[in-house]
Amino acid sequence: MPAAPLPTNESQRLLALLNCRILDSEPERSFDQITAFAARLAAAPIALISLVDESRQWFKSRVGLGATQTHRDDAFCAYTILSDEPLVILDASTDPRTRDNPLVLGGPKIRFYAGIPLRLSGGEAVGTLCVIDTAPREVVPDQLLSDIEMLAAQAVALLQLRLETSRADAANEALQGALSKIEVKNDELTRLVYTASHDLKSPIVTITGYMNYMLQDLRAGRDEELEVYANRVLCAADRMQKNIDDVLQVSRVGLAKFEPEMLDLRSMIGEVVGRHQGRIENQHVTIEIALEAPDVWCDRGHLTQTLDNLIVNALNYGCTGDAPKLTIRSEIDAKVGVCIAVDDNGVGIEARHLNRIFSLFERVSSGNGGTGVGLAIVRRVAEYYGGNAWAESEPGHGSSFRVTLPSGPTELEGVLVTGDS
Amino acid sequence: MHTADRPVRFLLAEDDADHADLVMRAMRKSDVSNEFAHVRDGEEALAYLRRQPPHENVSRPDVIVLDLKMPRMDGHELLEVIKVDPDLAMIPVVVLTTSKSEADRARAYGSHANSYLVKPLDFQRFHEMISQLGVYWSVWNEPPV
Repeated sequence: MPAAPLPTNESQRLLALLNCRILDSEPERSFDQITAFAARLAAAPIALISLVDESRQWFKSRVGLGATQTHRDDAFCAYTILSDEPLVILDASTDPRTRDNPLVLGGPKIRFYAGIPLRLSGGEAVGTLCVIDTAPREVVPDQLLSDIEMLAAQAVALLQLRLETSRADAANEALQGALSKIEVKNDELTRLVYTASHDLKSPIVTITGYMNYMLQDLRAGRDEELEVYANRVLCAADRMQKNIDDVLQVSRVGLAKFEPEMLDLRSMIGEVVGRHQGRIENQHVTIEIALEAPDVWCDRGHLTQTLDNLIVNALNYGCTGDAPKLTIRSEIDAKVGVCIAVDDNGVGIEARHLNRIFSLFERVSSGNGGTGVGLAIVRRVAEYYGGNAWAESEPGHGSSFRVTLPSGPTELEGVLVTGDS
Repeated sequence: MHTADRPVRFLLAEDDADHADLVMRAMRKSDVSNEFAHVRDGEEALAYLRRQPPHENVSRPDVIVLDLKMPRMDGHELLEVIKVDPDLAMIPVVVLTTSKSEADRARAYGSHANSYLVKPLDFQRFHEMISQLGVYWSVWNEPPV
């Protein structure tokens, strides 16, 4: 027989069927009762609830038939779902649509077929309730058809319920996903407040402490240490200023509107390296640039921030050896697009610190002027674009800081999540 | 009492040089005789406590005062190591931090900190706390050995 044409809403129909989450499920009494009753009403040896999948029909419930599915090309029901009306074939061996059908020529030797489309509320006919006889019939009473239609309506109700449940589950899952993102975000904010308050309180202790010593000394007419105290107060105030700037910078990554565009990595790197030329010369750092992937899709400010933080981090911590050398590389990353790496030949980092350094306000070594916010920003930016930031290192043999960013326009999630624990 | 013979020895683990200086100044101005050694992170503190280079010749401290937020190995990590080391576990540990957070307090006591002090932002109170800390550990407290 010629295979039935596809319904006009086929992809929507298949999706609805999939969302019913019923294909290949176990038999269920409620469906089996419907087929049993249909078979009895029609005095037919076979009754089926057939669901028409992409290339097969699968029987959710069957009476009088051993097969659990057949090819869609052989399915009478593939015709039934094309219409709103029942499909009745009194003698399949003479009907041009079905006379060559293997289910007519061979077992189960179908002759009589009456199928009612099972149409969901969105108009998707996902299958049929049908009764089949191995003997041809001359007539089908209207009463019988309308009775079977009533049963079909029950089957539709059951399917619709499954679909609604599955949609509710999906909505619930989406909600849970959003909720856990908010929780991560909230944890991150709590941590930000915690670290920020520590880093802001710390200089206050210093400032009030030395100011009081200054007062005591002034009252007592001593002046030997006044300058030391004043300098410490100034440094603490400076640190406080820096901390506040950092907190603002971190919190801004996710807030403002950004405009990603295609950026030429070589000129961006040149620009950022140029900013630190003084330090690079003072520290006698050799810089090598090797770009296999030349373009990055990113907001200009974000990429500048990323490169700047990676380079400053390398200058602070990775360029402490005798002949410091930085290699700035890029290569194609199969998953995200581009992987940018900043490699140094410094002392390296112990494995247990490798992830921690990407957390806010974490530093592995003291001193060197870092505030522990740069790498956290790098990671936040990377994650915003669906990429990642990490470090690889072998103590004694330098470190490699990597960040992946897209090489072309990408769907952005909009929610910034930093999972750093 | 141990302080009859010698000053009480504190080991201060604190990454902020100014805070360490302020603590030591306040302690010096108090009436108790004390000695202070200062290390800047948990790893250095451990090296000091275990008399590893360059601390081979140091004396064992009577009290460890530690800040929670330090680079390399922070105060929590240090505390956990100290309290499971049979050699070090009996040395009283006083946490001295700017953090009032419940999580920090719970974790510190959970790892058997002997005391938890929050650095007052007010100078007089800061001074008073440090001075009382000195008196408490050198005069009133009886050491394990």
